[in-house]
Amino acid sequence: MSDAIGPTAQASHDSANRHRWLLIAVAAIALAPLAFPDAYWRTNLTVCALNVMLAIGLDFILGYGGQLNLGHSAFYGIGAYASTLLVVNIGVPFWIAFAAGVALSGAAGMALSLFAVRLRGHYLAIASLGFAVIVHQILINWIGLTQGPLGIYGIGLPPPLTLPLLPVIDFGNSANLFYLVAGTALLSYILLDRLARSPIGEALMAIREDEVSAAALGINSTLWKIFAFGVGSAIAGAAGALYASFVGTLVPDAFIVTESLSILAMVVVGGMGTLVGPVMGAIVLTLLPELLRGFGDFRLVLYGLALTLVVLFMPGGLMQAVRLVRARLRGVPVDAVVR
Amino acid sequence: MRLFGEPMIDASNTAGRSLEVEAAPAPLFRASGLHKRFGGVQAVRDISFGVPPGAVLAIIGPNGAGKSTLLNLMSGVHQPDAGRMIFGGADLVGLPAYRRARLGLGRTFQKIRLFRHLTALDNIIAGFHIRHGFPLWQYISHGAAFRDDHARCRQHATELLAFVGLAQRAEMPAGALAYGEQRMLELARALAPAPHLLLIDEPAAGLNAVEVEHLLDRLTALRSRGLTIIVVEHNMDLVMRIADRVLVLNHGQYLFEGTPREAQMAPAVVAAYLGPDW
Repeated sequence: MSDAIGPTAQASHDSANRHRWLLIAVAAIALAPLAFPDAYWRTNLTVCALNVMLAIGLDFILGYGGQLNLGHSAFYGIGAYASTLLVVNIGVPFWIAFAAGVALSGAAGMALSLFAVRLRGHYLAIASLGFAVIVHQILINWIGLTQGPLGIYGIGLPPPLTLPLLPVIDFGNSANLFYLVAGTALLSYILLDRLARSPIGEALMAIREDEVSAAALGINSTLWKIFAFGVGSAIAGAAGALYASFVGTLVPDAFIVTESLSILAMVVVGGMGTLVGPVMGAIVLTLLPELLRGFGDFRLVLYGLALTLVVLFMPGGLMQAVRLVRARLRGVPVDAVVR
Repeated sequence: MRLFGEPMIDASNTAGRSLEVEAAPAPLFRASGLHKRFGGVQAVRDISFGVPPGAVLAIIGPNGAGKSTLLNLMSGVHQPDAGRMIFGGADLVGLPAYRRARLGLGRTFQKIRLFRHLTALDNIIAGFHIRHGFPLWQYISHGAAFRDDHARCRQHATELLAFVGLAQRAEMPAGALAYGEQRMLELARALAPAPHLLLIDEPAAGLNAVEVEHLLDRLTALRSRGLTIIVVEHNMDLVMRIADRVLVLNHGQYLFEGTPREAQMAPAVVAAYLGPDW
């Protein structure tokens, strides 16, 4: 072997690296609300964390499993409405309603995937887009259940959390609410990262690259596509359940189809098929419009321009840029890293 | 070198190997009366054949003779309209491709189908899908069994890459490899699930003379390990040197079956395929 480090040394090096980044992420989450004490920026941070959950969930379906899902907003909405209606109408405790919202979104994702399993590319895109339109229309028109466009108001915060050795955590405090959402996002990330680095991730990437070859290696593509869809949409459901109690209001238009496209933009700009990329994409595309507020409506032009430039010149997204810079620094030939 | 996790086939087959394959025990694979029609084209018509364990069968014939269709029927890419296929005691008809792979049926493709964006090493690691052994919960909480499995897979994948001469290309994306290297990588990937029967579709297509020699050398090595191989190939030199038996198809129909020498002599084969220069 010409490599200086063998497979085992490489693995432990990677693992140490991952632990270091995990610590950095935990520190960043812990410090973020302290660095931004005003309510406006704390709101933005929480929205960032919600969008991170949506983006990594979609990336697991799209970037790993190769399924062009244009209806991710539907699963976000199902999680939000299911958990909220359980709390508001039946008085179910928040965390049980949360779990139900996650389960229902996951089940809806698996059901859609099951029906669409023979569809690929454009056809799956259209089917999932149609699903999102249907869910949005149901939220608007089933007034008896969802109160339609009038919306649901006065949704309560998650109940105070009592953990051993800690003071009671009250989510009326915006920092604690951010910690709750960001903590859930971090757990989701760890879950997806573990799955992606397991044989499940290997199978999903094989399916994404070539389904016929994958089958020839004994990979059941139907099973793993449904699994990926289920996990990705369950995480969207978790984001939805947290969103409802964070905002306190639910209206159907929060889950309009174009939301799916925003989530897709986060995944693409960050870099499909990596989990770090969509995290960066979600943060950048959530904060960028806020930072550009000084430009008035011109910011939408800048936003669109940034998106177009990425798709045209950096199809691997921000992660491709990171890899290119790293390769330059190490003197590795650049074509060896381009996806 | 320890190429495969467990012996692919019991040693008796390797030891008792003989060119007179009719004398061998029950076939590992047997097809009878296979039919496949695509619209108005009868791609495969009433094809029957068998392969004893440890033998190499070459399927030859002009372009459009139905050779690739036959491999696709065997591997489960297509289902036959009629006919039976038995592989190691299991009925293959109706089984999806992934189930057939789990029974020990591996294949490569005429038009290379690698996982282009994955590295050469990861292409092979994906091929270990049906051979992982660790408890279910370690998919999420990666423990010792997971790490052992991971290291073992990398080790085996590295060995398979070395076997086909691609050890130096482990970290290259498969799509960035040279054409001949891609063919060899596909062969290595097909070996990863430790198949009992390997279907190889035109492995020498597009290879130069040196690469063909390398391929032949590797196929010979696999044969001497007792792997049963069915190869579709136009390179007659390779067929003559590797195959125990030759099945000749023409217009989707059976034309001839026999040893490579017999095929060379058969007037029908010469007329339909080889031409008088052979």
